[in-house]
Amino acid sequence: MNGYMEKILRLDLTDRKVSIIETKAYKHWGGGHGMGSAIFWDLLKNKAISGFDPHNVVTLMTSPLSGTLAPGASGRLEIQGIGVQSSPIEWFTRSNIGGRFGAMLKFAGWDGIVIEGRADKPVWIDIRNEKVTIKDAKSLWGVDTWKTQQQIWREVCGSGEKQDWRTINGKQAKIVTTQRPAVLAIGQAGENLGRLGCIIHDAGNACGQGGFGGVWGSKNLKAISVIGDQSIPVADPNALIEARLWAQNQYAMDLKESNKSRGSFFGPANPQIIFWSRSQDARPQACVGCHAGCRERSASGLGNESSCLETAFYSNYDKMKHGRQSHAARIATDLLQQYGINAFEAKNGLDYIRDLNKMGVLGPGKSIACDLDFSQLGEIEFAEKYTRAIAYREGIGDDFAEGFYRAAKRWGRLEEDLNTGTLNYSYWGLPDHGYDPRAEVEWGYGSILGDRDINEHDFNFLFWWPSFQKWMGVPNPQPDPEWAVNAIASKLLPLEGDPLMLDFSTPNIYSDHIAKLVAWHRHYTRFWKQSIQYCDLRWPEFINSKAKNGLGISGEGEPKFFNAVTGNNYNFVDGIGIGEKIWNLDNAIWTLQGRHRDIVHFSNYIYTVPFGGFGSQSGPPYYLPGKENGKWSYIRVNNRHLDKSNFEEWKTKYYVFEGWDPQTGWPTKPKLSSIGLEHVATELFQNNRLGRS
Amino acid sequence: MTKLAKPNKTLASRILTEVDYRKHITGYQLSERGGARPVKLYSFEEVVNFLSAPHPRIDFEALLVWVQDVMSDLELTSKLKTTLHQDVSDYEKSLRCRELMEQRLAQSKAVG
Amino acid sequence: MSRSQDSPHGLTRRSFLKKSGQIALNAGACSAIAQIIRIGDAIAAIPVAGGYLLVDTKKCQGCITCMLACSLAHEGSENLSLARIQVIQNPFEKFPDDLTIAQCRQCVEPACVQACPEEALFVDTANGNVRRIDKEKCNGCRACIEACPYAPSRIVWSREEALAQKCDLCAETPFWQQKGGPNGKQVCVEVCPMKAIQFTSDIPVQEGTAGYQVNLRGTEWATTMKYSTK
Repeated sequence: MNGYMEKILRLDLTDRKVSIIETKAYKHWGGGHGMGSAIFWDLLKNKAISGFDPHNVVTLMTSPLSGTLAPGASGRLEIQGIGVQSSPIEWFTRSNIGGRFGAMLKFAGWDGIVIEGRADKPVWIDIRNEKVTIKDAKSLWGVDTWKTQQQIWREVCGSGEKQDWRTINGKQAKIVTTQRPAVLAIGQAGENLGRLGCIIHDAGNACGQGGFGGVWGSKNLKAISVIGDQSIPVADPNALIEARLWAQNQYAMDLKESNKSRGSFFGPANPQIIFWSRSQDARPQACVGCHAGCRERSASGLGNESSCLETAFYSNYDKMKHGRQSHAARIATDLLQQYGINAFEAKNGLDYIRDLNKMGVLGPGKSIACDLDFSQLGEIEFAEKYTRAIAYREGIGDDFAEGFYRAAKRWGRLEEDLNTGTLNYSYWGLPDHGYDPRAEVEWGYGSILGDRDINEHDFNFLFWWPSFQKWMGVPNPQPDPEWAVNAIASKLLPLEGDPLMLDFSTPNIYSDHIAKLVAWHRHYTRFWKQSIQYCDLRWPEFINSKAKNGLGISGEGEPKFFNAVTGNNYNFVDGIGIGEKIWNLDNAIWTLQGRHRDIVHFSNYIYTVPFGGFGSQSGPPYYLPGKENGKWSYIRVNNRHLDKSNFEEWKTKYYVFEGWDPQTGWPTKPKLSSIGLEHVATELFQNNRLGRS
Repeated sequence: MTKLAKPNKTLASRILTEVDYRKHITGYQLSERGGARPVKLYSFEEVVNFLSAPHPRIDFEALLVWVQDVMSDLELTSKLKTTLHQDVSDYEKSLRCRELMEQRLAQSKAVG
Repeated sequence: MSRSQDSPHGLTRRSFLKKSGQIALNAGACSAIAQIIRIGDAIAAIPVAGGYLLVDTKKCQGCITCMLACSLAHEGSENLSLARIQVIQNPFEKFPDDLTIAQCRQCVEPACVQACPEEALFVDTANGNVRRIDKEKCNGCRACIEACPYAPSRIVWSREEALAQKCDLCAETPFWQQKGGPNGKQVCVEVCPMKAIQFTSDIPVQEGTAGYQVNLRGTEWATTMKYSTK
């Protein structure tokens, strides 16, 4: 198969050994997540260890599409291993990072990197094509992620000020390029074993979730730099170029007539996912090969490449304080990037401690002692103190750095605040995303059945479009809900044709139909998105008013680019099948880590507090398709909570659908055998963790 | 726009003062990529700023109750009620509520 | 004769040069050009190219799709170091200085053609006078790379083949079946998601960058994308 560089770099930091794993042993997993899970399974015998244990295996995997013309699939990298963020168990988990590292790793001749062990002193990895050196990181330790990257650039290729061809001389490799090395780095948050520590690349790309920054810190791994000038083989170059142009012509949003391509994820698209007030003096900025970049670089140079929640971290507080958006929002976000702090937890945590401060329980001299001056919330100084406290574990920052779930536990507030939802951490000790489990169930269910907030936005437009239109006074939001659910259902191969999979009405959210939806979603994302690296921001595309019959590119698009690069002849369903296999393997890993259906439960408030509050104060109108009295419409799904016993019954339906033991939620031998995972069944059996068939 | 009567010092002071935790009001910031994120609002000014953000969602009934019971601003409550009974979109209602509240905030700041 | 003045024949200098090139093409004789166009400013005795790439560096989103497409169409594989258009970025820099695009200028006075001792660098009269490299003749001396007055050199060095190569406006793309060259399509222009690269047959101003770095941002850049069109 083309698209692969045929070797994976294996690093043993304990013995400072560099070796190679041949990619061919894992090609049948596709790439990315599938390969990462399979390698993790093979290399780590005792999977029930802490993420900080030096035996933890961390994988960084590209896909055959990385570094190619495949739109929205070229720039990303999947990172996996035992994380340190979730609770009560540090689940084997995943994160993903954009930018250019994944592509550059391929250009250097590698399909991925596997990291094991712990270096005795801080190190960084210098990859120049096949030449890999483990280097001393003494001068980098304690340095923020931005300065770290720039220092590494200088070491690898000179000052970089002159924009010219460079010849980078390694002993065994000479590289000719105009490009800078792509670097992944941890900041002080990861160095200090913060569970909120993340890995940063360039100015604003982050491997945010899972605490992998802290995991790297525990391995004394500061950074990985890669530069290369090799060729990625493509099976059918003409087909790949033509596929790209086909996607552009058939599905791309037309800037001049953007309303004619509603649903198009093929850009350029506006707005970028930026939550602070935007500057006109900026450019859109994209990961390698992306057709619709979602970030920016601005004339101020502040907040470069940050997006989404990163930009929401401090923007409201800044506006509240100053009456308008000031630079404080961007500077605060840049501090997160420089220290290498998970923006999601930093934001949710800040909201939480502000509430505790308002309650009178957290602050100077309070029962939870905290010397942050909340009267300065919104100012740059407050953001500096807050982020520094997390990065260096200073004072109460030591609690913050553990994640706010664990912090609440330390403060004796966990049960109370999870009961009320004051701490809106709904699954596995992790912050809720905003697609509340009580409303948009496929998000919550997928998260609690897995290891983390799924962060897969595939169906969210079904909430956003009607909710926005209703708010704007459109009485009958488009697209028509019955048309929409049938259109989408037609694309959910091989489970196509069941629109009740998209019925979010309360009677249906505990049904077999929703079990099918969740299963499909897990299988699709595990392969096409997390393994082949189609970016969540742009894929899938179910509906596009520009396209024929109003149907989006998904189903045809994913295999088209994949086959053009690899020379394979996969169809969409082939990918779903591999995704199912990967999902089963992941569940086997979690089973060995201690999963049992009895612990697969949301935080208490999900079962007791209606989404949006009580009584008539039912919060924001949150619409999703639903079938009521035989008729499809966009129904309000707020003002409800989940029913715990109904959810228990639903879990049984789900486990049965997946072929897992409904008593435990564990994989079964027949299921594993049917998908070529007999060896997994064997290991589960040896550990008394095989589900009964 | 409807004109509000100038508030007295007591009312102005309440408008400008942060409320106790138990008396906060919750808005929801909706976004395409972030879902519905609850935002606790602890002062009149915070509510005004919240209503200036993109896609602010607030339960209008809850807002009326809050302005009446927590701010004890009966005139504003009445004006908001009239606004909310108009046959316009929620977006338009948010704008009009914000305008009224901005007016009251400015008046209160002027009173000092 | 200044660049902005018409020639005695009532034509702009640029269109005059273009027509001169066309006359020479029809005549099939380079020497005819040397005589015709030695008027006023010193002019190279080489037919001008029939096409040029213009870029808007403020519109570019830095996705390097152009680079990926270029190497794919010409080499059949993805390799940034073989792309004949280069986008160079610094993520920590302020817009618009965070990004530059280095496209071949198809110079009116191509120093690379003049420097090549093997005549591997040539003007392809069958393809709109695009400046190209004949790989069969290239001996890897790199004189063309040294001669290119721009940094980064618009001549690309293939380390594996030890040969030079350059932008040919897609005149020869063994791995892309669309017709290229000045009378056809350029893959970078076609794939650019932002439409930040434009093909033109008008000769750009040769001095400085203003001729080749242009504003391609229409009104929708402001109305839909909410960015400045300045």
